[in-house]
Amino acid sequence: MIYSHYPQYLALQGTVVYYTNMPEPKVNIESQSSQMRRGILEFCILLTISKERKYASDIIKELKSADLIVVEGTLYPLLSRLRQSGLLGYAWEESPSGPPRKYYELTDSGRTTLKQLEATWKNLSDSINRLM
Amino acid sequence: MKKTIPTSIANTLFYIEEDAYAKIGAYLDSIKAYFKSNEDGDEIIRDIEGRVAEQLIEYTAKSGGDAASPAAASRERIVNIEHVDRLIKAMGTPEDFASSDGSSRANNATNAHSADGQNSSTHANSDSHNASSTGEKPHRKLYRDTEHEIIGGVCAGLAAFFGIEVNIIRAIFLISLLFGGSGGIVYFILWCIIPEAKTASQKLEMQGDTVTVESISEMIKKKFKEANVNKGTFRKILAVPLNIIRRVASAINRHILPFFGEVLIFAVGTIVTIAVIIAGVALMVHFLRG
Repeated sequence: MIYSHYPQYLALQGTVVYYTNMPEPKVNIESQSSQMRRGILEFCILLTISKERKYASDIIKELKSADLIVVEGTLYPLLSRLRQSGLLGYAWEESPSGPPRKYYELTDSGRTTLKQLEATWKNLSDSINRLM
Repeated sequence: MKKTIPTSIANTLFYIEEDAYAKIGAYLDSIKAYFKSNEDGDEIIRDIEGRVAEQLIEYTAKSGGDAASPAAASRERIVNIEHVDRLIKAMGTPEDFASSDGSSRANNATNAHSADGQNSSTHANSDSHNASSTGEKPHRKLYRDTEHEIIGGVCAGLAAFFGIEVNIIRAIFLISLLFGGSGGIVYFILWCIIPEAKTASQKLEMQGDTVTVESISEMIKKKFKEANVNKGTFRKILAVPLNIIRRVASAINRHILPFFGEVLIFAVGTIVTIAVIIAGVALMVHFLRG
Protein backbone atom coordinates (compact mmCIF):
# COMPACT_ATOMS: atom_id res chain seq x y z
CA MET A 1 0.00 0.00 0.00
CA ILE A 2 2.58 2.47 1.12
CA TYR A 3 4.66 1.93 -2.00
CA SER A 4 1.87 2.93 -4.32
CA HIS A 5 1.95 6.46 -2.89
CA TYR A 6 5.68 6.74 -2.67
CA PRO A 7 6.58 7.40 -6.32
CA GLN A 8 3.78 9.93 -6.65
CA TYR A 9 5.21 11.96 -3.75
CA LEU A 10 8.64 12.07 -5.34
CA ALA A 11 7.18 13.07 -8.67
CA LEU A 12 5.58 16.11 -7.09
CA GLN A 13 9.06 17.34 -6.22
CA GLY A 14 10.02 17.05 -9.86
CA THR A 15 11.98 13.88 -9.48
CA VAL A 16 11.46 11.31 -12.18
CA VAL A 17 11.12 7.91 -10.60
CA TYR A 18 11.57 4.74 -12.53
CA TYR A 19 10.58 1.70 -10.60
CA THR A 20 10.31 -1.84 -11.74
CA ASN A 21 7.56 -4.04 -10.44
CA MET A 22 9.03 -6.62 -8.14
CA PRO A 23 7.29 -9.96 -8.48
CA GLU A 24 5.29 -10.72 -5.41
CA PRO A 25 6.68 -13.60 -3.37
CA LYS A 26 3.50 -15.63 -3.82
CA VAL A 27 3.78 -15.58 -7.61
CA ASN A 28 7.38 -16.68 -7.31
CA ILE A 29 6.46 -19.73 -5.26
CA GLU A 30 3.83 -20.66 -7.80
CA SER A 31 6.27 -20.53 -10.66
CA GLN A 32 8.83 -22.49 -8.64
CA SER A 33 6.30 -25.22 -7.99
CA SER A 34 5.14 -25.33 -11.58
CA GLN A 35 8.73 -25.58 -12.76
CA MET A 36 9.32 -28.48 -10.41
CA ARG A 37 6.21 -30.22 -11.67
CA ARG A 38 7.16 -29.59 -15.26
CA GLY A 39 10.61 -31.05 -14.63
CA ILE A 40 9.30 -34.38 -13.41
CA LEU A 41 6.28 -34.63 -15.72
CA GLU A 42 7.97 -36.78 -18.35
CA PHE A 43 9.28 -39.05 -15.60
CA CYS A 44 5.73 -39.37 -14.25
CA ILE A 45 4.34 -40.22 -17.68
CA LEU A 46 6.90 -43.00 -18.03
CA LEU A 47 5.97 -44.23 -14.55
CA THR A 48 2.25 -44.45 -15.33
CA ILE A 49 2.93 -46.40 -18.51
CA SER A 50 5.50 -48.70 -16.89
CA LYS A 51 2.89 -50.66 -14.94
CA GLU A 52 0.79 -51.55 -17.95
CA ARG A 53 0.21 -50.22 -21.43
CA LYS A 54 -2.13 -47.26 -21.38
CA TYR A 55 -3.95 -44.93 -23.66
CA ALA A 56 -3.90 -41.16 -23.34
CA SER A 57 -7.12 -40.90 -21.37
CA ASP A 58 -5.83 -43.31 -18.66
CA ILE A 59 -2.60 -41.35 -18.37
CA ILE A 60 -4.53 -38.11 -18.08
CA LYS A 61 -6.74 -39.51 -15.32
CA GLU A 62 -3.74 -40.64 -13.26
CA LEU A 63 -1.82 -37.41 -13.71
CA LYS A 64 -4.89 -35.36 -12.89
CA SER A 65 -5.62 -37.29 -9.72
CA ALA A 66 -1.99 -36.72 -8.70
CA ASP A 67 -2.40 -32.97 -9.43
CA LEU A 68 0.41 -33.10 -11.94
CA ILE A 69 -1.33 -31.60 -14.97
CA VAL A 70 -4.06 -29.00 -15.22
CA VAL A 71 -5.15 -29.11 -18.86
CA GLU A 72 -5.12 -32.24 -20.97
CA GLY A 73 -3.69 -30.61 -24.05
CA THR A 74 -0.25 -30.35 -22.47
CA LEU A 75 0.10 -34.14 -22.44
CA TYR A 76 0.10 -34.70 -26.19
CA PRO A 77 3.25 -32.75 -27.09
CA LEU A 78 5.04 -34.55 -24.24
CA LEU A 79 3.94 -37.97 -25.49
CA SER A 80 5.14 -37.00 -28.94
CA ARG A 81 8.51 -35.90 -27.60
CA LEU A 82 8.96 -39.14 -25.62
CA ARG A 83 8.04 -41.15 -28.68
CA GLN A 84 10.52 -39.26 -30.82
CA SER A 85 13.33 -39.90 -28.39
CA GLY A 86 12.50 -43.60 -28.64
CA LEU A 87 11.26 -44.14 -25.09
CA LEU A 88 7.66 -44.90 -26.07
CA GLY A 89 5.91 -46.88 -28.72
CA TYR A 90 2.21 -47.32 -29.40
CA ALA A 91 -0.29 -49.66 -31.01
CA TRP A 92 -3.76 -48.87 -32.31
CA GLU A 93 -6.70 -50.64 -30.80
CA GLU A 94 -10.42 -50.49 -31.51
CA SER A 95 -12.53 -48.81 -28.87
CA PRO A 96 -16.05 -49.96 -27.92
CA SER A 97 -17.28 -46.39 -28.44
CA GLY A 98 -15.71 -43.73 -30.58
CA PRO A 99 -12.46 -43.55 -32.52
CA PRO A 100 -9.69 -46.17 -32.18
CA ARG A 101 -7.26 -45.62 -29.34
CA LYS A 102 -3.50 -45.42 -29.23
CA TYR A 103 -2.12 -47.64 -26.51
CA TYR A 104 1.30 -46.50 -25.33
CA GLU A 105 3.99 -48.82 -24.12
CA LEU A 106 7.59 -48.43 -22.94
CA THR A 107 10.36 -49.47 -25.30
CA ASP A 108 13.52 -51.19 -24.02
CA SER A 109 15.39 -47.90 -23.93
CA GLY A 110 12.35 -46.41 -22.19
CA ARG A 111 12.63 -48.99 -19.44
CA THR A 112 16.37 -48.33 -18.94
CA THR A 113 15.77 -44.60 -18.87
CA LEU A 114 13.01 -45.05 -16.33
CA LYS A 115 15.33 -47.08 -14.07
CA GLN A 116 17.94 -44.34 -14.20
CA LEU A 117 15.32 -41.69 -13.51
CA GLU A 118 13.96 -43.67 -10.56
CA ALA A 119 17.46 -43.82 -9.08
CA THR A 120 17.88 -40.08 -9.59
CA TRP A 121 14.54 -39.43 -7.94
CA LYS A 122 15.39 -41.56 -4.92
CA ASN A 123 18.68 -39.73 -4.45
CA LEU A 124 16.96 -36.38 -4.83
CA SER A 125 14.19 -37.24 -2.44
CA ASP A 126 16.73 -38.50 0.15
CA SER A 127 18.71 -35.28 -0.14
CA ILE A 128 15.63 -33.12 0.26
CA ASN A 129 14.42 -35.15 3.25
CA ARG A 130 17.79 -34.76 4.89
CA LEU A 131 17.58 -30.98 4.45
CA MET A 132 14.01 -30.65 5.65
CA MET B 1 -34.55 -26.72 -31.12
CA LYS B 2 -31.50 -24.97 -32.46
CA LYS B 3 -30.15 -25.60 -35.92
CA THR B 4 -27.38 -28.22 -35.93
CA ILE B 5 -24.52 -28.80 -38.33
CA PRO B 6 -23.43 -32.39 -38.96
CA THR B 7 -19.65 -32.54 -38.52
CA SER B 8 -17.10 -35.30 -38.41
CA ILE B 9 -14.38 -35.08 -35.75
CA ALA B 10 -11.83 -37.90 -35.81
CA ASN B 11 -14.18 -39.95 -38.02
CA THR B 12 -17.06 -39.63 -35.57
CA LEU B 13 -20.25 -37.90 -36.56
CA PHE B 14 -21.61 -35.15 -34.32
CA TYR B 15 -24.54 -32.78 -34.70
CA ILE B 16 -23.18 -29.49 -33.45
CA GLU B 17 -25.44 -26.54 -32.70
CA GLU B 18 -24.62 -23.40 -34.68
CA ASP B 19 -23.05 -21.29 -31.91
CA ALA B 20 -21.14 -24.26 -30.55
CA TYR B 21 -19.92 -24.99 -34.09
CA ALA B 22 -18.30 -21.57 -34.46
CA LYS B 23 -16.61 -21.93 -31.10
CA ILE B 24 -15.26 -25.45 -31.55
CA GLY B 25 -14.11 -24.61 -35.08
CA ALA B 26 -12.15 -21.64 -33.77
CA TYR B 27 -10.76 -23.73 -30.94
CA LEU B 28 -9.51 -26.52 -33.19
CA ASP B 29 -8.11 -23.92 -35.59
CA SER B 30 -6.14 -22.27 -32.80
CA ILE B 31 -4.75 -25.65 -31.72
CA LYS B 32 -3.74 -26.42 -35.28
CA ALA B 33 -2.02 -23.07 -35.60
CA TYR B 34 -0.18 -23.62 -32.32
CA PHE B 35 1.18 -27.09 -33.13
CA LYS B 36 1.71 -26.48 -36.84
CA SER B 37 5.35 -25.51 -36.40
CA ASN B 38 6.06 -28.54 -34.22
CA GLU B 39 7.85 -31.23 -36.25
CA ASP B 40 5.35 -33.80 -35.04
CA GLY B 41 2.45 -31.38 -35.19
CA ASP B 42 0.12 -33.39 -37.44
CA GLU B 43 0.24 -36.35 -35.12
CA ILE B 44 -0.34 -34.22 -32.02
CA ILE B 45 -3.30 -32.55 -33.71
CA ARG B 46 -4.77 -35.94 -34.63
CA ASP B 47 -4.31 -37.17 -31.06
CA ILE B 48 -6.04 -34.10 -29.69
CA GLU B 49 -8.91 -34.41 -32.18
CA GLY B 50 -9.33 -38.03 -31.17
CA ARG B 51 -9.52 -37.03 -27.53
CA VAL B 52 -11.96 -34.21 -28.37
CA ALA B 53 -14.24 -36.72 -30.09
CA GLU B 54 -13.99 -39.07 -27.14
CA GLN B 55 -14.87 -36.35 -24.64
CA LEU B 56 -17.82 -35.17 -26.71
CA ILE B 57 -19.16 -38.73 -26.93
CA GLU B 58 -18.93 -38.94 -23.16
CA TYR B 59 -20.63 -35.57 -22.57
CA THR B 60 -23.45 -36.09 -25.03
CA ALA B 61 -24.18 -39.60 -23.76
CA LYS B 62 -24.57 -38.27 -20.20
CA SER B 63 -26.76 -35.31 -21.03
CA GLY B 64 -28.98 -37.49 -23.23
CA GLY B 65 -30.33 -39.03 -20.04
CA ASP B 66 -31.09 -42.19 -21.98
CA ALA B 67 -28.04 -44.21 -21.05
CA ALA B 68 -30.03 -47.42 -21.31
CA SER B 69 -30.02 -47.28 -25.11
CA PRO B 70 -26.52 -46.61 -26.40
CA ALA B 71 -27.75 -47.06 -29.96
CA ALA B 72 -29.94 -43.99 -29.65
CA ALA B 73 -27.07 -42.03 -28.15
CA SER B 74 -24.76 -42.80 -31.04
CA ARG B 75 -27.38 -41.80 -33.58
CA GLU B 76 -28.01 -38.40 -32.10
CA ARG B 77 -24.86 -36.87 -30.66
CA ILE B 78 -26.00 -33.30 -30.28
CA VAL B 79 -23.27 -31.00 -29.08
CA ASN B 80 -24.26 -27.70 -27.50
CA ILE B 81 -22.23 -24.73 -26.36
CA GLU B 82 -21.98 -25.99 -22.77
CA HIS B 83 -20.34 -29.19 -23.98
CA VAL B 84 -17.82 -27.15 -25.96
CA ASP B 85 -17.06 -24.88 -23.00
CA ARG B 86 -16.53 -27.88 -20.79
CA LEU B 87 -14.33 -29.48 -23.40
CA ILE B 88 -12.14 -26.39 -23.82
CA LYS B 89 -11.80 -26.09 -20.06
CA ALA B 90 -10.61 -29.68 -19.77
CA MET B 91 -8.32 -29.66 -22.79
CA GLY B 92 -6.92 -26.16 -22.31
CA THR B 93 -6.24 -23.44 -24.88
CA PRO B 94 -2.93 -22.74 -26.64
CA GLU B 95 -2.34 -19.99 -24.08
CA ASP B 96 -2.48 -22.63 -21.34
CA PHE B 97 -0.02 -24.85 -23.20
CA ALA B 98 2.36 -21.95 -23.67
CA SER B 99 2.40 -21.06 -19.99
CA SER B 100 2.68 -24.61 -18.71
CA ASP B 101 5.10 -25.76 -21.35
CA GLY B 102 7.35 -22.76 -21.81
CA SER B 103 10.42 -24.67 -22.91
CA SER B 104 8.88 -26.53 -25.78
CA ARG B 105 7.19 -23.41 -27.09
CA ALA B 106 10.59 -21.80 -27.54
CA ASN B 107 11.71 -24.90 -29.41
CA ASN B 108 8.70 -24.71 -31.67
CA ALA B 109 9.55 -21.18 -32.61
CA THR B 110 13.07 -22.11 -33.66
CA ASN B 111 11.86 -25.22 -35.45
CA ALA B 112 9.60 -23.06 -37.53
CA HIS B 113 12.67 -21.70 -39.31
CA SER B 114 13.81 -25.02 -40.66
CA ALA B 115 10.56 -26.96 -40.73
CA ASP B 116 8.41 -24.90 -43.06
CA GLY B 117 10.94 -23.86 -45.62
CA GLN B 118 8.42 -22.61 -48.10
CA ASN B 119 6.85 -20.22 -45.67
CA SER B 120 10.18 -19.03 -44.31
CA SER B 121 10.61 -16.96 -47.46
CA THR B 122 7.78 -14.88 -46.19
CA HIS B 123 8.85 -14.33 -42.59
CA ALA B 124 8.85 -10.63 -42.02
CA ASN B 125 11.15 -10.24 -39.04
CA SER B 126 12.53 -13.66 -38.30
CA ASP B 127 15.08 -12.32 -35.82
CA SER B 128 12.65 -11.06 -33.24
CA HIS B 129 10.25 -13.98 -33.29
CA ASN B 130 12.52 -16.32 -31.36
CA ALA B 131 11.47 -14.57 -28.22
CA SER B 132 7.88 -15.68 -28.47
CA SER B 133 6.48 -14.15 -25.35
CA THR B 134 2.73 -14.02 -25.24
CA GLY B 135 2.41 -10.27 -25.42
CA GLU B 136 4.52 -9.82 -28.52
CA LYS B 137 2.94 -9.53 -31.95
CA PRO B 138 4.00 -12.42 -34.14
CA HIS B 139 5.66 -11.96 -37.52
CA ARG B 140 3.44 -11.54 -40.52
CA LYS B 141 3.33 -14.04 -43.31
CA LEU B 142 2.77 -13.31 -46.94
CA TYR B 143 -0.47 -14.74 -48.30
CA ARG B 144 -2.84 -13.76 -51.06
CA ASP B 145 -5.80 -11.94 -49.55
CA THR B 146 -8.61 -13.33 -51.67
CA GLU B 147 -11.25 -11.70 -49.52
CA HIS B 148 -10.17 -8.27 -50.73
CA GLU B 149 -9.14 -9.34 -54.21
CA ILE B 150 -9.76 -7.62 -57.50
CA ILE B 151 -7.81 -10.11 -59.57
CA GLY B 152 -5.99 -12.63 -57.40
CA GLY B 153 -5.51 -10.92 -54.07
CA VAL B 154 -1.77 -10.37 -54.60
CA CYS B 155 -1.89 -6.61 -54.01
CA ALA B 156 -4.11 -6.94 -50.94
CA GLY B 157 -1.78 -9.62 -49.55
CA LEU B 158 1.30 -7.47 -50.14
CA ALA B 159 -0.46 -4.52 -48.53
CA ALA B 160 -1.28 -6.56 -45.43
CA PHE B 161 2.28 -7.86 -45.31
CA PHE B 162 3.90 -4.43 -45.48
CA GLY B 163 1.14 -2.72 -43.54
CA ILE B 164 0.42 -0.08 -46.18
CA GLU B 165 -2.64 1.02 -48.10
CA VAL B 166 -3.61 -1.50 -50.79
CA ASN B 167 -4.26 1.16 -53.43
CA ILE B 168 -0.62 2.28 -53.34
CA ILE B 169 0.48 -1.20 -54.34
CA ARG B 170 -2.24 -1.39 -56.98
CA ALA B 171 -1.04 1.95 -58.37
CA ILE B 172 2.53 0.66 -58.54
CA PHE B 173 1.36 -2.38 -60.50
CA LEU B 174 -0.78 -0.25 -62.83
CA ILE B 175 2.10 2.14 -63.50
CA SER B 176 4.44 -0.77 -64.13
CA LEU B 177 2.00 -2.02 -66.79
CA LEU B 178 2.96 1.02 -68.87
CA PHE B 179 6.46 -0.36 -69.25
CA GLY B 180 5.81 -3.15 -71.72
CA GLY B 181 3.38 -4.89 -69.37
CA SER B 182 6.16 -6.08 -67.08
CA GLY B 183 3.96 -5.61 -64.02
CA GLY B 184 1.50 -8.11 -65.39
CA ILE B 185 4.16 -10.79 -65.58
CA VAL B 186 5.40 -10.00 -62.07
CA TYR B 187 1.82 -10.12 -60.85
CA PHE B 188 1.22 -13.47 -62.48
CA ILE B 189 4.42 -14.93 -61.00
CA LEU B 190 3.48 -13.70 -57.53
CA TRP B 191 -0.01 -15.12 -58.02
CA CYS B 192 1.49 -18.54 -58.68
CA ILE B 193 4.01 -18.42 -55.86
CA ILE B 194 2.17 -16.87 -52.94
CA PRO B 195 -0.25 -19.24 -51.20
CA GLU B 196 -3.82 -18.14 -50.60
CA ALA B 197 -4.86 -17.36 -47.02
CA LYS B 198 -7.51 -20.04 -46.60
CA THR B 199 -7.94 -20.92 -42.95
CA ALA B 200 -8.82 -18.46 -40.23
CA SER B 201 -5.38 -18.76 -38.66
CA GLN B 202 -3.65 -18.03 -41.97
CA LYS B 203 -5.74 -14.91 -42.37
CA LEU B 204 -4.69 -13.77 -38.93
CA GLU B 205 -1.03 -14.52 -39.65
CA MET B 206 -1.35 -12.45 -42.80
CA GLN B 207 -2.31 -9.46 -40.70
CA GLY B 208 0.21 -10.24 -37.99
CA ASP B 209 -2.46 -10.89 -35.36
CA THR B 210 -1.90 -13.37 -32.59
CA VAL B 211 -3.71 -16.62 -33.21
CA THR B 212 -5.96 -17.29 -30.24
CA VAL B 213 -9.44 -18.65 -29.78
CA GLU B 214 -10.73 -15.12 -29.23
CA SER B 215 -9.12 -13.62 -32.32
CA ILE B 216 -10.38 -16.39 -34.56
CA SER B 217 -13.96 -16.28 -33.35
CA GLU B 218 -13.82 -12.50 -33.68
CA MET B 219 -12.80 -12.92 -37.29
CA ILE B 220 -15.47 -15.48 -38.08
CA LYS B 221 -18.10 -13.07 -36.75
CA LYS B 222 -16.67 -10.30 -38.93
CA LYS B 223 -16.75 -12.54 -41.98
CA PHE B 224 -20.45 -13.29 -41.51
CA LYS B 225 -21.13 -9.56 -41.64
CA GLU B 226 -18.96 -8.95 -44.70
CA ALA B 227 -20.56 -11.80 -46.60
CA ASN B 228 -23.67 -9.70 -47.21
CA VAL B 229 -21.79 -6.93 -48.98
CA ASN B 230 -22.23 -7.05 -52.76
CA LYS B 231 -19.30 -7.15 -55.09
CA GLY B 232 -19.07 -4.20 -57.47
CA THR B 233 -20.19 -4.36 -61.09
CA PHE B 234 -16.57 -3.86 -62.22
CA ARG B 235 -15.68 -7.15 -60.62
CA LYS B 236 -18.74 -8.87 -62.06
CA ILE B 237 -17.61 -7.95 -65.58
CA LEU B 238 -14.09 -9.12 -64.84
CA ALA B 239 -15.33 -12.38 -63.32
CA VAL B 240 -15.36 -14.61 -66.43
CA PRO B 241 -11.85 -14.01 -67.82
CA LEU B 242 -10.47 -13.86 -64.30
CA ASN B 243 -11.81 -17.29 -63.42
CA ILE B 244 -9.85 -18.76 -66.32
CA ILE B 245 -6.60 -17.08 -65.25
CA ARG B 246 -7.34 -18.06 -61.68
CA ARG B 247 -7.55 -21.72 -62.63
CA VAL B 248 -4.26 -21.52 -64.53
CA ALA B 249 -2.53 -19.85 -61.59
CA SER B 250 -3.82 -22.33 -59.05
CA ALA B 251 -2.93 -25.24 -61.34
CA ILE B 252 0.64 -23.95 -61.57
CA ASN B 253 0.67 -23.44 -57.82
CA ARG B 254 -0.52 -26.97 -57.17
CA HIS B 255 0.99 -29.17 -59.89
CA ILE B 256 4.11 -27.49 -61.21
CA LEU B 257 5.60 -25.73 -58.21
CA PRO B 258 6.05 -28.86 -56.05
CA PHE B 259 8.68 -30.04 -58.56
CA PHE B 260 10.87 -27.05 -57.88
CA GLY B 261 12.90 -27.07 -54.72
CA GLU B 262 11.77 -24.93 -51.86
CA VAL B 263 15.03 -23.05 -52.15
CA LEU B 264 14.18 -21.95 -55.65
CA ILE B 265 10.77 -20.74 -54.54
CA PHE B 266 12.38 -18.84 -51.74
CA ALA B 267 14.90 -17.21 -54.08
CA VAL B 268 12.39 -16.32 -56.78
CA GLY B 269 9.88 -15.06 -54.27
CA THR B 270 12.39 -12.86 -52.51
CA ILE B 271 13.91 -11.46 -55.70
CA VAL B 272 10.56 -10.72 -57.28
CA THR B 273 9.21 -9.10 -54.14
CA ILE B 274 12.28 -6.93 -53.67
CA ALA B 275 12.32 -6.05 -57.36
CA VAL B 276 8.72 -4.94 -57.28
CA ILE B 277 9.23 -2.78 -54.24
CA ILE B 278 12.45 -1.20 -55.52
CA ALA B 279 10.88 -0.58 -58.91
CA GLY B 280 7.87 1.00 -57.27
CA VAL B 281 9.90 3.27 -55.04
CA ALA B 282 12.23 4.20 -57.91
CA LEU B 283 9.28 5.09 -60.10
CA MET B 284 7.67 7.18 -57.41
CA VAL B 285 10.92 9.07 -56.81
CA HIS B 286 11.34 9.51 -60.56
CA PHE B 287 7.88 10.96 -61.06
CA LEU B 288 8.03 13.16 -57.98
CA ARG B 289 11.26 14.77 -59.18
CA GLY B 290 9.70 15.27 -62.60
